[in-house]
Amino acid sequence: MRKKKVSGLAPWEEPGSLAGRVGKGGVLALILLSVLLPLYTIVLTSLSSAETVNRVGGLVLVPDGITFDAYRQIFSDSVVSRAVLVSTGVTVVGTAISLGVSVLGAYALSRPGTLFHRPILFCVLLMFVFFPGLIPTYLMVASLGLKDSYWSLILPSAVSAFNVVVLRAFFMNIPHELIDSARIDGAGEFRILWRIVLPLSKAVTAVVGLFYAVGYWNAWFNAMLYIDDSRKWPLALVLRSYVVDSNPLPTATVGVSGFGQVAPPTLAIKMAIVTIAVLPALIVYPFVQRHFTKGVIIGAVKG
Amino acid sequence: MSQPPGGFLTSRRGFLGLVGAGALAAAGLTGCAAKKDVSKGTAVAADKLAGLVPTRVPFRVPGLSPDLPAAEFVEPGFLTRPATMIQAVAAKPITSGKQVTAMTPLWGTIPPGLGENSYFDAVNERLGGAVRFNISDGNTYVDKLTTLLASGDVPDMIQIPGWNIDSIAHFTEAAHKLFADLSPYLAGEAAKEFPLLANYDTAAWTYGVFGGVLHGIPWQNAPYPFATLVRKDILDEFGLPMPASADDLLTLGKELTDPRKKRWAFGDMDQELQRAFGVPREWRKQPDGTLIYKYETPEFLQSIELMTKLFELGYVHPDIVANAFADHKEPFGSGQIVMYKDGLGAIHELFGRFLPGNPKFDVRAVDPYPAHAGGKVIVWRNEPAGMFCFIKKDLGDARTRELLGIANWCSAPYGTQEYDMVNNGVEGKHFTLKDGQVQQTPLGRKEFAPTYMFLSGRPGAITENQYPGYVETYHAWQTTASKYLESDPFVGLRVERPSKMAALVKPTEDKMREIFRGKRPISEWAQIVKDWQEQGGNEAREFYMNVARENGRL
Amino acid sequence: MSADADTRSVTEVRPGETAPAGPADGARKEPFSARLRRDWPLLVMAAPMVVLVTAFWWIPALGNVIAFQDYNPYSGGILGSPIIGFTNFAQLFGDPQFVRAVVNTLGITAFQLVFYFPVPIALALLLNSVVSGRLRAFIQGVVYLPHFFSWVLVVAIFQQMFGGAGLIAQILRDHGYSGIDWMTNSDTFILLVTAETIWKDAGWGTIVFLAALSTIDPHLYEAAAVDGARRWRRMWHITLPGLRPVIVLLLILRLGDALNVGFEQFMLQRGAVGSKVSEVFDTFVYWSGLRTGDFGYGAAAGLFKGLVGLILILVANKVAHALGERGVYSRS
Repeated sequence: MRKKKVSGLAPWEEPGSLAGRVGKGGVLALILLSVLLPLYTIVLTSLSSAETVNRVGGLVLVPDGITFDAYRQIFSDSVVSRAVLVSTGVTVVGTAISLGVSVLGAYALSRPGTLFHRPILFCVLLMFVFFPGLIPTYLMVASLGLKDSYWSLILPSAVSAFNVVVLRAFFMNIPHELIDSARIDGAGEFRILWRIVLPLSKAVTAVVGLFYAVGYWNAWFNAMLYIDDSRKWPLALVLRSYVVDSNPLPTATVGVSGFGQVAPPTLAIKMAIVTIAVLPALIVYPFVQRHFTKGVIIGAVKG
Repeated sequence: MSQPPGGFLTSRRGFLGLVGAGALAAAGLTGCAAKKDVSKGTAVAADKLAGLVPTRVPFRVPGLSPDLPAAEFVEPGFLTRPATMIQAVAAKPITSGKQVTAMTPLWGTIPPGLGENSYFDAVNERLGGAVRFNISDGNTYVDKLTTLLASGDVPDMIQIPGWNIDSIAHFTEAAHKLFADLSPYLAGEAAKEFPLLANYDTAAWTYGVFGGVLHGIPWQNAPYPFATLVRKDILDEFGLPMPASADDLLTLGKELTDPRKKRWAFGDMDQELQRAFGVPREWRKQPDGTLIYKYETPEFLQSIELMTKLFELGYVHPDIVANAFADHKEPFGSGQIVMYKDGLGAIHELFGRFLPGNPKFDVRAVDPYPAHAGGKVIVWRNEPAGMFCFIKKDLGDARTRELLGIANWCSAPYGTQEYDMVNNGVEGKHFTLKDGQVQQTPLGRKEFAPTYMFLSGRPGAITENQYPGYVETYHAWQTTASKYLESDPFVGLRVERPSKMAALVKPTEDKMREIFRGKRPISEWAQIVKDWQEQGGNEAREFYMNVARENGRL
Repeated sequence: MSADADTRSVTEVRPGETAPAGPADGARKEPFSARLRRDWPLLVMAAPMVVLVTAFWWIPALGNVIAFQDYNPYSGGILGSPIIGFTNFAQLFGDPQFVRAVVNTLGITAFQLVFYFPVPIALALLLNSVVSGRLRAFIQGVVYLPHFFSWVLVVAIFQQMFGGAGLIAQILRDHGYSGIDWMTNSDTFILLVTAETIWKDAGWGTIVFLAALSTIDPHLYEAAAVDGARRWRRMWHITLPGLRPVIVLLLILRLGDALNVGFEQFMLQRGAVGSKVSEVFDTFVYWSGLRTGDFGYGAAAGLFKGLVGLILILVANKVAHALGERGVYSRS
């Protein structure tokens, strides 16, 4: 009885009123426009020449010659292409580990009344509100010998309390009968998780996977702290160094200036970096969205 | 939940256990065991300083004479690149062959690492051993620094900019614990072993003294913190003169500002106006023998009044109104801002960035001007060094000398092969010469990064002769400005600012910027100054008065 | 919708009554060994998480004791720095700006709970009602992109649109009106930051709700439609109840974050509107101590914030239980 992708109105669904549809369309168009217009100027600026950007003195709205110079400059940098590999590796391995650990942990905590369930959950909850200091964490990572190792980019941030709690909430929504009957049939916990809970939680698992992946892809702080060897830097950290902060160097106040031949990054390059940073999100989303199929749970119960 | 937090905490056994009964009894419910300042100020008298730092022995590059002469507080200017570069250091400084680790900040693109970078290879070949750089993003440098210092995990050599030192609590203690005392190797005549380090300004060296110990190899800089930069080409277009007084700014603002043409006269000008009105850089000696801080002077208030007026009249670019720290260079380059305050190094940066796309682009530093026509002109005398390289403690005598040798090598002044390697790389590989100008090659763009230059400092020189008129006009500006330099009562001493006072600067000036923007009335300034005095300003005054008294400066 | 319908845990036991205080949950009918025998696979499953959290969270978090110390990493460190009791806290609460920062923060949190929190839910419902699957996927994919922009960029984009030299101001001037500047108006600052937050994060926020929507049984809709329930009634009686556990969960978590409204966003804009309206807890702590590297003070501020968050979470959780919701932390 599982419904395939709902691509039109269900037979029982009444068509919306004209006014309602027009209103909805208008609102959606406005929302789209509010994102697409800035996105357009960002992409256009990244494709504009330094002269155009300098003349406009900000984001470019009207195209005036398209050039891929900014992208060429970024990707001609051998450091960047390797950083893409590093980031991909860290994201894939990290997401797999995080997802595995979180799904197991969330499932273990989704059964109220089990041994130690309460203190463990409380400890996870405290992660929301209390944070370890920078220095103790650094000392821990260093004493485990993780400095300059890719593991330092994964392990310290492997568990997100938010993701565990969200997974747990979805797991707890799964009808008890399913799990209980499986247990009566003699299924072990791992089997229940793998055969019943996970197939029913594809959407939230995909979402949490996305959250973790995005987190790993964009993370730079741990790399800045723990990785001295720039060959092991992830893309987010490499790209950061292109985008000099909005705050100017305090050099003006101390009178230090002119660190050699370094040309400051142009706005075009900054915007190219923004575009590059957004691109993976654009590519990944359809794969996540695929799991938002309606009605998985009940299909399983009745089917 | 409106319970006093102290009460809440004491009701929890867990916390009590941590605190310990004795401390708690002393602290009471409101808790008030005394806390030490995160860093006390320190001061070293002039005569004692002389025993800590190198005796200056000027180093002359044979056969090199600048086109525009150096003078006191004026850097030499070079209109052309010297035809031959001489080798300043004959012996390779690294003799043990042991790799050197170094941490430096970077604002720009990451170069390929050691082993994949012919620039590093070339310099390391000259050094006689490899330096492995741990390059860290300049914007977040302080986060990494704080962590490394607090966990005691520092490399052989480390660059620490002064503005970061301000945000590191107990820095002097950290320096004592982690960094080598350089006096045994450098004080007085000992520095002869490192002739290029002995070539530094003594004033710059004294700034390498932290808590009475010479720890830092300074990056010496010109004594001018900033100037008013102006788009000369736009002024010419309007037939307007450069401002000759702060009063002129009102006229210029009126003439130049035209929002419909997307043009505003000014960006940030605050410190330039303070200077114009004759506000001291920090402390001023009063006739009655006391010190007053810049905020407390009547001139400071006058500068606020004028700046507020410029904002009120709409002469300041809206992006700057919205964010005082917004990038000025972008709107300045496009002509949306005609005038703003910046460090002097910005001039050639601006030329480099905007001249290629706009041949008419011309930026000049305005000669220091007074508040009112005919008034007294002053220029703040900047601290002689703003960044420092430190060497790890307890590496042994031989190794420390080796590292100082590297610093010495990197300190070679303009006109030497070493300077060229540190600033440009290898000729024919990382740069080529075209019409006597350095042109970076694609390989240079990829591999070169400012790294070795952070392992020491070097005397300044005006060398960016690729921009028409730049060397001449900037040299002339320095010559003019040098006449107006105003020394504060502590010149020649090494005074480390108490951190409490340093911490007050930003909040206080934040409020000042709110006044500019009409978010607070000008009348509130008196109260802001009073807050400053009470929160640590008066304490700082006492400290400085003591220093001044002990050194006969009052 | 009683959530904790697990039969094993329904038994009422008052903590005070049970004699042998075993480990954490000694107050149970079943003996510890029996529960261990039953639950060990779950403990094994939780083990990797517990190990990671302990190593990288809890052990380093013990370092927060420096909140009660005059912490100096160079002489003493965590073990040797003098203990000064609540001086760091006194410094925090004693600052005249403290109250304003907390009031501002809570005000902004409250405002955003009303005007931001429902937006992703509404957007998710709106998206969900789009009939064409492709169009829906496209819109979803677009609206979540701004999440990947940094605050620097978001503020810059708003400046370029609504600032005094921005697009709208220029258009107005071109037509003879005077320009506008919404970026420096301190009276409407709360609207501005909320608008920025909506633009940046509402699309991203819909994702969890979209996932939750996909778990609602479509047969319920069909049955309701057959019973004559129209669109809005179906949304009210089926969709919203289906989303309710997730909404409640996220609401509780947001409350726990009440003193966190973002640091960078406010840091970037405080100059434009003045610190009177833009000072929030994090910026206050930064200016008053963290900037000069006073770790003990920073730790004290962090503990205070955490305590407030924890209390709010526990209270909100109690309220949720009272209303028959599962909340985030069950009592069993």
